[in-house]
Amino acid sequence: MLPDTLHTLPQNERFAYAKLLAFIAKIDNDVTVDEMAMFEQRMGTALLSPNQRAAIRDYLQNPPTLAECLEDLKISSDGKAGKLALRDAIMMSAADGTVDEDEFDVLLQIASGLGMEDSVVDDLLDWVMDGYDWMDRGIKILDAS
Amino acid sequence: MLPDAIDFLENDDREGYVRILIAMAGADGTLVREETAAIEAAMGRALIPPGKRDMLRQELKIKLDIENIIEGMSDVAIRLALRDATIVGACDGEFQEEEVQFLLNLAKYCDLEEKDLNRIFKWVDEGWTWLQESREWLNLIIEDESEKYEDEL
Repeated sequence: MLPDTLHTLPQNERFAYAKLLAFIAKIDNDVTVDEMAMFEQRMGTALLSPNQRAAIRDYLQNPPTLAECLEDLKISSDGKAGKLALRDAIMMSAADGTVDEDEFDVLLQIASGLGMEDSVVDDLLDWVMDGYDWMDRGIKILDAS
Repeated sequence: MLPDAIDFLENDDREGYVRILIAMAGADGTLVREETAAIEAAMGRALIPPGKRDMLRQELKIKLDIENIIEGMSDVAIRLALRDATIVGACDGEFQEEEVQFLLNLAKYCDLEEKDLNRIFKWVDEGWTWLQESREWLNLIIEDESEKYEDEL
């Protein structure tokens, strides 16, 4: 929910971003409630139109290929859409509490396909864990009184 | 964005939670794109059905009565709404007086005090820094972004 730069991207780049998240959500053929909630949240943050959201939700039934997703993300001249998609793909992969080996391999493929170093995936995984700690502190504040 | 206690709320509480965020967004009489994005994100996070989202979006155009919204809501839902309303308030870079009053008023309904609200403000600020770190990892920092938020928050 925190304000992000995602909504400042051109609409076609936001669509390509969400398409990659749909791919990630379906990677193990099973979309958990945690993954779906995060997926819907990111679509909201991206301010996709209702029609675009419907199209993206269809990808959960008929997932795109990774090659197709990476190709679409290359429309972004400055690479921002791909970078944000990788970051949020990592967050979605960790939504159920673990990132298994298959998911990790795909995240490395995404980083590589977008021209980023493998180490970015590790750095962002650490960043996601920091986010869990931050959320936990928020809940503790609410429980304080 | 991350797994959250919202998952455990009943449907009525989820709607009330979103309505509180909508009321917060309208508290200062203006609605910026960042606030809209935050509310859309919250509706997605709470897994509000698409049809219900359309209905809730209409409420962005009217002034909502907070007392009517919170009637029947659980204490947990109001507290989560207080936390996330603070994020909505921070979206445009600064808290207006009307927004602070809104949050103070809301805090009373869930038995939280001003000191608790101050801790939530600090927590939001930490979240902002956390999100900014990801943009640093990815070389996505907008020019003068950090200075802007330091000045305005």
